[in-house]
Amino acid sequence: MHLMPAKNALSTFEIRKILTVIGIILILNRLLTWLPRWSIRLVERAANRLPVNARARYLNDWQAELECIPGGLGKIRFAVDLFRGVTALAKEIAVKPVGAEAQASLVIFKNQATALEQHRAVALLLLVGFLIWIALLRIESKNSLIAGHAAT
Amino acid sequence: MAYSMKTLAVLAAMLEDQTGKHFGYNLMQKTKTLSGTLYPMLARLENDGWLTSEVEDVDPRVAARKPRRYYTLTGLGIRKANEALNTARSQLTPSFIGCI
Repeated sequence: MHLMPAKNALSTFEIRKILTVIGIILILNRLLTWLPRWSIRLVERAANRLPVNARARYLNDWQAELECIPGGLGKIRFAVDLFRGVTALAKEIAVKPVGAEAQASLVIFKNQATALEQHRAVALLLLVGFLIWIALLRIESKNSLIAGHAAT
Repeated sequence: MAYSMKTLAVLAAMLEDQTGKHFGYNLMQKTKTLSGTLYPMLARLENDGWLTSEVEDVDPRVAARKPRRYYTLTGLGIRKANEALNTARSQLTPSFIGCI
């Protein structure tokens, strides 16, 4: 008995196509569920690019904004554009700190920066002193070697 | 001093409710401004004394969300924003006036 190939039977190529489409849909679905998490991370990164005195304020503000934006795509759009504009915001903040609390934290930041500069200066002085001491030791040992040779 | 169309749009949106409290997402929606443009602008306006901002007094556990920062126009801000908008309107051709 001769078997005729079924007309409606799916070819391997078509099955592959269907599986690919299903795979793409599954991946996109997974990506959409990850978008809110990526948005939060991106916002954190954007906040980290701001001066130290303003980071906490803007991070809290943006996290609160993110919560009220509906949908993963809206959230990621907010976060990506924020990341793009964070340099301009950092410049604005650098011109004059925002708010009284930021003024206070800027004073602390300046004090910390001054202390860091002082620590660096002390470390540099110690390093220079150490190098001079090593150099003197080497000169001394050379001299004693020459003196030893001369004696023999 | 010249202001960008986006700045004027934000100022106009805030002037609609002069004493009202505005938060970032609300302003973004009203003026179609993106976050990367809005926040530097708000920081500049706050630095210039046109705006003040405060975090809302809400318990995050009760409200089930983080407290938002609200921006309000100051007296100086209201006066300056009106001046800036009037100047811009006088300089624009009639077809553009509707934009701001």
